[in-house]
Amino acid sequence: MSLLTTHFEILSFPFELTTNDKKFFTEFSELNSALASPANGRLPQIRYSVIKNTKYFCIRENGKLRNRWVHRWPLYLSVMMCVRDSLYQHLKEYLFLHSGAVAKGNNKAVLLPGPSGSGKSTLTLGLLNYGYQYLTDEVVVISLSDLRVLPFQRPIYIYGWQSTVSDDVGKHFKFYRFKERYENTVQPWQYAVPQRDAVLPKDSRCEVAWIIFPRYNETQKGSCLRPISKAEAAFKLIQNEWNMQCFSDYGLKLCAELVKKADCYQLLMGDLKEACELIEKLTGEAAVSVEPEILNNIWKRKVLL
Amino acid sequence: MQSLKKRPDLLIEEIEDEVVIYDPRTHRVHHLNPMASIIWELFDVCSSPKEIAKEIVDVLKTGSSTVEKDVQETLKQLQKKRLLE
Repeated sequence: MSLLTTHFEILSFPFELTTNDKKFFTEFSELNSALASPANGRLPQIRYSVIKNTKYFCIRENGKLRNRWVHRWPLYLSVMMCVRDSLYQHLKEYLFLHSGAVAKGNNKAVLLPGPSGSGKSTLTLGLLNYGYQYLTDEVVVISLSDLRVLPFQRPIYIYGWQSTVSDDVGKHFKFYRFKERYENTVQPWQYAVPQRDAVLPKDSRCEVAWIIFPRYNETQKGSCLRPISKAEAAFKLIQNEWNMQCFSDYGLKLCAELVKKADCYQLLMGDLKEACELIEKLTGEAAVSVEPEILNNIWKRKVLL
Repeated sequence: MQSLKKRPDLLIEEIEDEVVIYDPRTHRVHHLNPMASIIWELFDVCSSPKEIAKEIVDVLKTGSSTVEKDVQETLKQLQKKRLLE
């Protein structure tokens, strides 16, 4: 059995991955190309193995079985969930929020915090078409030293195989299509992985200038932005934290400081185009014309992530 | 007599004129609107709901029956959320 091993770092935290499945190894390296950096010679603190036996792919973390799968398609997501949990557990210098984030001009970030189904990934994807840079669609990383956002450019996980970004934006992403199989059903998904100019330097930092809490409402016709108080924003932000328990004594203060520096809004979203345009207007950037077809493709996704 | 004592282990942050409370026991967060925040602050200086209502009526020059009702309702909510001793 031939084993393939890669060493990589995410937020300067060293990992190792070993597998006997060449296809998964290639897929993992490609999907992680914008998020991870090559290891800096440090010993890995967490070792993952994905070993295919006659029946299953077994995922182990430091030798302990974490998951096993019949198919290859859940492997990347499954390993990355373990990676994410390890980061939350070990990195105390960052606050992690369940949030999408984009940036535009002057290194100013728009945070889009919300639970699954609120539409944050849909909105993140929509805003890329309006010239915003991709920071993350799921995990916002805030540095405790300066309360700035670091890029966490994991692949964007998109339902369907239609094009969801304009040709101009698409040039800077690579799309990986795959099928998810659940018993008798097959669903089309794709990953969008930032390439070239869309990959931000790992040490880049963005000031949190706007915090917008999206809430998808299928019965609503348009979209509207409502300013909310800083206290309400802090309350909502804490509800979307991943690791605040690590700093119970000053986590609340961190969120309070974050909202004090930003303009905070609730976005009721019934129409993606309108939602993107409202944000574009709010952040003071020139209007960009976007093909409605592209936004419709995003909006048509069955699941709002 | 209803307790007006805030739980000492709560983490409290005043942001503008509202209060956000983090409960380290349950890891739950609570947001008090401006009126509830005033009532919460007055727990430190008043010994009864009536006294709180009187303070608010004196400052806001508003009807006492509405304020008393608000104070009682807020107190009930805070007790329900187990934010008082």
